[in-house]
Amino acid sequence: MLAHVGDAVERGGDVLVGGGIHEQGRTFFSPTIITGADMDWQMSNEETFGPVAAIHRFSDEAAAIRTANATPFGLAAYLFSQDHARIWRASEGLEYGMIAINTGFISTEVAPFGGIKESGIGREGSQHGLDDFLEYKYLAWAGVRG
Amino acid sequence: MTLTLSDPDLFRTQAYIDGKWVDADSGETFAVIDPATGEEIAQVPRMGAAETRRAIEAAERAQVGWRKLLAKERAKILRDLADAMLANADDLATILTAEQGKPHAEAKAEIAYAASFFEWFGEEAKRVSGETIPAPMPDRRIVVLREPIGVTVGITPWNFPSAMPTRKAAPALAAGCSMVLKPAEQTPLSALSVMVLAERVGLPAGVLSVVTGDAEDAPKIGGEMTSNPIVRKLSFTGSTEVGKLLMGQCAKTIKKVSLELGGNAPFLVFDDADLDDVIAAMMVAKFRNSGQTCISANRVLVQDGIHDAFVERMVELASGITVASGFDPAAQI
Repeated sequence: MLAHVGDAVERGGDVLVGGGIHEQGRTFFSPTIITGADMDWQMSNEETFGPVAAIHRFSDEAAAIRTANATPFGLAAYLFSQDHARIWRASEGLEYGMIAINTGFISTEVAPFGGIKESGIGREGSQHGLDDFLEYKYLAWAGVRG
Repeated sequence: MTLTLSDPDLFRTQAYIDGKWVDADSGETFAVIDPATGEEIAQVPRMGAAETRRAIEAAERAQVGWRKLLAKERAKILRDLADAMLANADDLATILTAEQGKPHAEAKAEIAYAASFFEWFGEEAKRVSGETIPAPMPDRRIVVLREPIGVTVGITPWNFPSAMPTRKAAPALAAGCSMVLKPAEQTPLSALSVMVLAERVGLPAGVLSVVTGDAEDAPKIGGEMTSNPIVRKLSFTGSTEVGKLLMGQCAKTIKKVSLELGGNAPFLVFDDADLDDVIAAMMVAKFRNSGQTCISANRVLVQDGIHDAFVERMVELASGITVASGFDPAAQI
């Protein structure tokens, strides 16, 4: 995380909150907000896996979706809008296995959890979650005369 | 360090293979550390290929009878296990927070989530139907059965020490498969505590085993799991790098593979977004588990019209988060 933050600052990012290790101890990181992000930043291309939010600005919807898709990963995406047509366009355009619409919370055992592209294979949870543990067996049963 | 538990029997420091609590063949152990304090919580067995092979062979023997049980009978055991997890949620959460660090309240939420998979998949098992297909030639019937794949293995990460193992074990067991699990070296205790409950509700020996090992043992345990021809399927959640490696190893015996790997979640805030929804979502999608989930918002893309108002609200949110030890009731991350 420190490397990601350092890289962001070097590339012109503005740290508005946090940015380093919390006084609680070595294994605690401060919630951090950095603005001015773009796709050249290290943290735009690697999982940060910490409480650091890098903010990118955009103007065009289609361009934003292209930026969102510019990654080998495809697990979850979040979108916030009140316009139903925009929600459909974005949901259909985003290359992800799961789309969160107007929420940050998606984990539930009833829905298929999983990703596409290099985020993985298969789904966990939902009725489809059993598929990965079952095989089809075809019986070709002849001689049933009469 | 001793944890305060209502039921100390839930805290186990041995692995669980073929219905028995066992040490490593070598007797060697490794330390599980509390990430908030650096203190040692437990010493857990360092296992390798031999113990893993025995667990796999036990899984093969056990699966014969397990798959013959009625789906309804398997479902009952899984339902009982879900209920047992919920009844012991507080203790399970204490063990989880100690080894993983997330706030106790979040750990309890994870226990509920973890238990939900046993409940759900027990129910789904009763609905696995096959089909009959009209034959295009005379004197013939076409029937399609759906059968359990057999012996399976699961390798799980440290970010959800309870839910990741149950998310894999539940569908495997429900379908009539058996499974050998290897939890992350940082967090083996949660999986072991679930095995205590599994034993109590009558899960037959060998159907589900938990093998433990440290970072050095992982390739040996994983190597046995991916090379042993008895194993028909691997389910892995973790880094993309390790996922690719394991998938490659499984190719030699054409094992079925399920992978849940890394993400780079975009978080798109359009001009017409409701900022209250956005900020509430950010708390979950960015700061839950300190941002240590595969679905954490990694890139926040904000449209021009709402950008500055959004940043202002985000700064307010981030500045107000309480960072503390998982056992501090005020801790949010």
